[in-house]
Amino acid sequence: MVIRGLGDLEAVIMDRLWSWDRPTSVREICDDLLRERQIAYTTVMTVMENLHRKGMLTRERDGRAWRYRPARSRAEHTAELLEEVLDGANDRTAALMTFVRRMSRSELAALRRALSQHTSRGEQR
Amino acid sequence: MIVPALLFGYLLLAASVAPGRLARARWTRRAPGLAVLAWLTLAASVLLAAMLGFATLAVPPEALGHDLSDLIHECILHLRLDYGAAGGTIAGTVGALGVCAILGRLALTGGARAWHIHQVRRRQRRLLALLGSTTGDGVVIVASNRPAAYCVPGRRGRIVLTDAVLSQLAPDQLAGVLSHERGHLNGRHHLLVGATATLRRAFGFVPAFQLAQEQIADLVELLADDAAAASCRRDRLAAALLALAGGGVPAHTLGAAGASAVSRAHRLATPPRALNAAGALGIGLACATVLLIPPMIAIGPAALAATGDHCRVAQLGHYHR
Repeated sequence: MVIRGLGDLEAVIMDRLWSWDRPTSVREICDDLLRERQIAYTTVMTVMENLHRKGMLTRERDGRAWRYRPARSRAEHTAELLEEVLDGANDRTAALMTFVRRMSRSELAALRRALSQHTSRGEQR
Repeated sequence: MIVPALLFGYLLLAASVAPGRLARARWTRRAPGLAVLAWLTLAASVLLAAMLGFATLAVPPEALGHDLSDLIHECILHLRLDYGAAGGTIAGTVGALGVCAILGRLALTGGARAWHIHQVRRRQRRLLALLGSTTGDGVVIVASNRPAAYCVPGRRGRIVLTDAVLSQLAPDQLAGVLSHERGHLNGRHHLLVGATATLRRAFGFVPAFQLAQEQIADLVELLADDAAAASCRRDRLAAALLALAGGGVPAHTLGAAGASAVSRAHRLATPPRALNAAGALGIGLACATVLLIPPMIAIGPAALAATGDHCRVAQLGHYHR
């Protein structure tokens, strides 16, 4: 498998683990993936060990094998992703560029007022 | 001492008086691209004036000729008065330290910023690879009920939307938002904002750098809004602005966000007329002038001396052999 493929494999494995939401062994994942593609057990094992090393998965011993589960839920990761976007500091440095910045309630009201000015003016014509 | 004095005098004007004027100018919203150029030129001119000011302070009088003092004594005197300082060593040290301090501060701040930004984007790409699904044209959709539309600039720029955005916007508005983000990526706006943010972080006490960062951050949004005009009617994009501004937890401290969104909405609803060619040319020339002033002050006396009566530099070569 090429390196790029390993990245896709990480996504596929995380997707499975999030969906199943129970401690899962490498064998179980591998069997599931074999239904759709050619893949070696050692490849799956390596990727899952890498994910564990990166902190994405936790694991517990089950006899001689490991059982893995996600360290954080999909929702928690999504929240982490979006918090970075809405963080003013990242916007200031343009690490990320958002379409419209998060604003306070009063600023939102001001924006609404500004737009309604223009629509009412348009209707008067 | 004249040259360093002139340079620092110009520095004072360019760093504190000029920025306020430029920020209040009304043509900037009619030609945001030129306005970005103007701010970058001003910031560069300030930096250049500071560095050249210290550099010319550090020019040792000895460097301006020694063996030919018999014939060119008067010439050397004039040059010594213009450059360097009667104080000699002290001014020289201050000058050298000044240049080193400026360059060092810039390098350290720039490096730290670049590293931090790299980490943020790397984390984003990693999470997006796991959480997002990519559409045909390279847009990443993430499942969430919080609306978010943004881009991750850099080597492989990516545009990200949450599926809440897909349900809140009409197809034309969606196209507009995507064009806006693509406008940021194509225009490499992250480099402009990043550079001015570094300058502000390195030398925050300089009004020119503070205002340059704030103004350029707003101006690139106007540029991206203009880029979106081809895909979406301006008033529809303004409505998209409102739709997406309302999502998520309101911030308590981000004062500038609302003001810039309101002014964007006004500008989208009532597009300003474009600048005419004469105006654009005038601004371009002003930018070139501002950029050239510091180097011209720095080499002015030397250039004048080369052509002046009392200092025949052409003859010096003759006598030197």
